[in-house]
Amino acid sequence: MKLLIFELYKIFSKPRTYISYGVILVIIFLIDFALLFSGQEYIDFLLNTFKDSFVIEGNILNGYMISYIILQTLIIHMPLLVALVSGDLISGEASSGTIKILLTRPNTRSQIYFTKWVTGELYTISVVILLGIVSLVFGIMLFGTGDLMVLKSDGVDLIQSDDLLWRFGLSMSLAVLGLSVVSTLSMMISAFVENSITPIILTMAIIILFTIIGTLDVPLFDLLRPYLFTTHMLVWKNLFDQDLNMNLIESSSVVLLVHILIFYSVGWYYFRNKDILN
Amino acid sequence: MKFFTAIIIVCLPILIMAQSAKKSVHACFEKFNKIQSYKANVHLDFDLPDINMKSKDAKVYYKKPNKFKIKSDGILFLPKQNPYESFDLLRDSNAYTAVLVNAEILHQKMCKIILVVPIKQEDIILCKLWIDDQAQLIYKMQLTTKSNGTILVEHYYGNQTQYGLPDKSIYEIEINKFKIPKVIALEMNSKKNKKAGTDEKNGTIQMSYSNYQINIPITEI
Repeated sequence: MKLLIFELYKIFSKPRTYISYGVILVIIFLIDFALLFSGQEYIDFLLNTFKDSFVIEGNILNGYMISYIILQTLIIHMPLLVALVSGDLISGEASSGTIKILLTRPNTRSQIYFTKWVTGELYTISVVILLGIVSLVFGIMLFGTGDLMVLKSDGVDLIQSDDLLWRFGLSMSLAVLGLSVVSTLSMMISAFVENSITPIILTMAIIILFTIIGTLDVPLFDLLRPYLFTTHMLVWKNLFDQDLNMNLIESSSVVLLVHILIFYSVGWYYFRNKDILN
Repeated sequence: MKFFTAIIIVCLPILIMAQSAKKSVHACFEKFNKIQSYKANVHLDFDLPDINMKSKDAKVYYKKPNKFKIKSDGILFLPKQNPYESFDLLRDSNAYTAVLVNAEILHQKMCKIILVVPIKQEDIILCKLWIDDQAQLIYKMQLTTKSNGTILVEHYYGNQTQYGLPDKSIYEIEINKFKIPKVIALEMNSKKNKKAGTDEKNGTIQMSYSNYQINIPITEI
């Protein structure tokens, strides 16, 4: 516990830790105010197809929809914000020369690695909670409540307002799970290198590569796609389907957990045997 | 003389049929015209392509001559046409021509199929009605307007036949295929949907009415 508090103190005493919080708050406020002034035009553009057939009654642009738009927009960029901190957890100690002092403490290397991983996880959770709560509360304050209209490329799902809060809660948990893979990956890379920049860049490079493989409609990539963690990182969005596919959500969660386990084990094994004298 | 007699013999039945068609349409209108206002509960079931939504409960309000509103707590997809828009036309029997074109059995009733064509230029281009002459009820209506296209409504009657108010109405609507770019929907990792489909599909909205309150003061619209 003492070690955890010590690690938390270390990451929260670095200015880079607050970059994520600042970026998230700025983007939330920007999107909220932009949609407050021109949101109706945005909705009219998106729902143009239905204009000839229907009158759509009700508050479409409500707090839930704003929050959903913000989550969609930001969660794609969150890996960078997470890697910024978790990629520095071990390599930061190596580059500043404090790793030798850290490992002379009575705690085992496994305990130190685990504590650093927990610290990274707590940071990830705090970022997602901040994003979720601020976007939801601020959205509801400005736009009120109502049913959520989920706009997909080939249709619309309408979820009733009394069926939404648990979906937001669970989707946040799944977003944390997805981002934990990124956090564990960047920490694993961090165990291998001696500077902070490499884990951040390498983590982002892997995410970009996997996302490209996932996006391109090439038959060869169809075989790879189910094994890439980036395919499953956006599983939180499935919670906003009218008909929930729980099998997909469960299988994606398992894939993400397996990735966390693999990245953690590789990083931990290397760190346990790492030669810190050279 | 023979020529004029021939014309009269040919035109007379047509004239009588037109008058009879007009009479049927007007009788239905007069039945509904007894209503000054009404309020009812409505349960909406949606079967719309590309729109996935659950059934909803709402309240429906009507006020003479054609004010109509459905109110609910959440979001509703409703037919663009006001169901009472056609009554604007039917109010004045000199404003339209009615032609009996056929007859059909609908809901186990023999219904006359009557085409109503406005005489003046109006938003309504054509109104096709399936009328049960005995009960003076409109069982089906196809309304074509300049501004909102074509809509088909089928009515099912129960307790409020004396006012011509249905217990259930099913609206059939033409819908264009919904498409927005994947980048806007942020579906980066999703596979392309390879299902072939036409750009226009039909969907239905079923409205089941209950607890009618007729001729009460309405302030909601």
